[in-house]
Amino acid sequence: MVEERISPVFSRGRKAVLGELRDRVQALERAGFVTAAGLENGGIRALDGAEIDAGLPWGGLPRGALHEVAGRRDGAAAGFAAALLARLGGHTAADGAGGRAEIVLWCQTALEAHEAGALHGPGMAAFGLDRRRLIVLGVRRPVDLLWAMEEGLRCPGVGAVLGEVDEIDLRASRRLQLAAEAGGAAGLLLRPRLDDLGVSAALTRWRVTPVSGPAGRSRPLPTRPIGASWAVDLWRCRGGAPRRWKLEWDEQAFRFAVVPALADGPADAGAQALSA
Amino acid sequence: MAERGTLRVSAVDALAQAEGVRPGITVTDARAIYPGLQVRDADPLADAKALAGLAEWCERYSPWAATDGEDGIKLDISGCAHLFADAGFANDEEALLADLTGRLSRLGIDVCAAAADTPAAAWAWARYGDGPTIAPGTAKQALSPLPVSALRLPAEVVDELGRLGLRRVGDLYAIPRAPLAARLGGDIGRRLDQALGRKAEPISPPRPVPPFRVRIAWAEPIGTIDAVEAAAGQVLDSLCAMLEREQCGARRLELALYRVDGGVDRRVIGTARPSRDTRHLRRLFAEKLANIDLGFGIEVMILSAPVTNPLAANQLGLSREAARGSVAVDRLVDRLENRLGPGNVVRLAPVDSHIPERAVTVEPALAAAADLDWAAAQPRPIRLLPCPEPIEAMAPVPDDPPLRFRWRKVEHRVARAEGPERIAPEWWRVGPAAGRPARVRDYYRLEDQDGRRFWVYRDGLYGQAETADGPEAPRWYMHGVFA
Repeated sequence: MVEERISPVFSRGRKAVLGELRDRVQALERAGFVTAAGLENGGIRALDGAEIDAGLPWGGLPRGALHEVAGRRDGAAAGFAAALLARLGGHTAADGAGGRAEIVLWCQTALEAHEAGALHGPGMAAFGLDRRRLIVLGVRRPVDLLWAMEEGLRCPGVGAVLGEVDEIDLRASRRLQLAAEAGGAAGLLLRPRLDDLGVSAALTRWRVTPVSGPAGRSRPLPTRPIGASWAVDLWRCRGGAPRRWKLEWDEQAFRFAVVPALADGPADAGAQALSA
Repeated sequence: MAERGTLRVSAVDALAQAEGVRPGITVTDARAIYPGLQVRDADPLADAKALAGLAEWCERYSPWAATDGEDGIKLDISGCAHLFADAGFANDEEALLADLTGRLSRLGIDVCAAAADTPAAAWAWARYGDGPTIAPGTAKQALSPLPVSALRLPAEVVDELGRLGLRRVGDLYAIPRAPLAARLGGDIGRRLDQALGRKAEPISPPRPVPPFRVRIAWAEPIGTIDAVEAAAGQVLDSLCAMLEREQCGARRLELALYRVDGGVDRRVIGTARPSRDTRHLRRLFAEKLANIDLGFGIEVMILSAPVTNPLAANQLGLSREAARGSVAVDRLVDRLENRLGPGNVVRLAPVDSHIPERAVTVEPALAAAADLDWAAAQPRPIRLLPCPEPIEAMAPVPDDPPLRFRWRKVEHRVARAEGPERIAPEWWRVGPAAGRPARVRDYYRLEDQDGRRFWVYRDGLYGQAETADGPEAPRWYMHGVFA
């Protein structure tokens, strides 16, 4: 046949060639995928040990990679990101003495601190971020923030680095992803918006919105304790399917609790709010 | 120079002087003497600044450099002169002076310079003397024929001495001190003693002289960043060797680059813990040298360690994994702090206060952490606004939490509320200086119809609003957001 004379690769069989090409493309674009190096350097951290981990292709969230958490400036995304940071950055109270105590960095631009509010230590502690482990960086320009994140990700002894970034392009996120792979630390981007998020090299991309409890229609207002509960939308996940959960944060046990979805429950309400 | 409305000449250049224009005469007189005279306003502040800059430039010769009066710079070159040894000159001091005056005149600065045993003798010789140096031990003879004004005496004392027939410095050597002091004040004796070295007159440089200091100079200026970085590495190696001998580590390092055009560029790095690790310090400097302006080139580079701490040798040999990680974090904090500025790399720390905005402070990222923890028993927001922001709240009953409120131009309907948490003002802080006395705050946690959670408070209580200044209704403020 003519084709066989022109391109001898076909003689090796279609499947083998395609597999080889896929490997090459993946090697070219390896930022964005979990590489063996990233997994080996970082390892994987369980989020709740049950439902969420089962929904993730790695059985947990890999360190040594970049993750993105987006949400409005209402605190919900910050809380979810703080909990992830504490989990990914080494041990938490729930892990006991098993994990290594590593430093975590939280980078914030001065503008964002003014707009969204400054980090409040007692509030952060509720998400498992011990003040002795948490270093807060104040930066003036976004370019300094990206630089600081990259330095932190490459540094041994640093478990996770979070940066509050409004705008970030593919190139910058790829740099961070590569730095996270090399250093084995987890990178987190906290974006103060829910739409126009653009493309990103992040391994997983999450959108977080707050979820309300049953509204009180009568006076006096209901006074049952108000806890953190979120509609969490994993809308991009390399190598996995998008998922949604309604989560609550257990402040005593420092863990996520998945609220079972009900037909007319708040989880669906939150999900509808997201898709709207 | 304006004086009672008259413009007077305060300084002249060599050309004008040749035409007969002298400081002190009026500008009208000066124009009459030489009609083409160009007049500029005197700017003593700018002059002083330029002189200070020149004194800084002179630190390339010796760290003991300071400005002297309005028009002089004094330099202690003890032990420095041999660096400039040149067979063409009678002694090392003369070679140093020739180097100094040569460089300054190439920069377009006319200078009279002299070296002598004492600052006072050098001052006199530079202004009234003949030749660059007074040989050691010969100050008495050398100064003898100079006019008495060479002793830095006030003009009226000089006039009085002139009336007494004492016109030369040498005339004063034999006069008894006591009658002279009785008639003209004690200045004469002091000035004479300073000139002849009987009384010490130390030079105090504007910045302290660090004990660890390495200097490198080039015959030809270097003009590339790579060369500067290589040279910085070289001086850093020598300085770290010095520090190691003394069992010290640097907390702060200053690299001064002396440009050909007379400018001095200083780059400072700091470390959180004492260090003499060349690789680490070199990396910190590399950040600082990236955007440097080399101009026409760098002639001299001086590296000094103004702040050092003891650092024993055995602290460096760390082998365990965890220890390596902590050293790496120390290094990272240094790099971050050097780029982001001090105070921008911090840990949050508790303060013993119930007022939420006062309960949190920051401490350096590597400070020894006190074993205190957050004191608040009630839930606290994840973000706290730097300043509480006033909100428009509508509460059905004055004492209740609001049913709806408007914050940053957005209307929120409250679905759930929890509270109040009452926080009393710290009475010991209340004073007339605070303006309005602080009031009791009632904090509520609110959840709006979308599930967003806020921390708001009512400033003041209903029924107690009447203060000494008159009644003031309680107001509502937004203070933070919950996750």
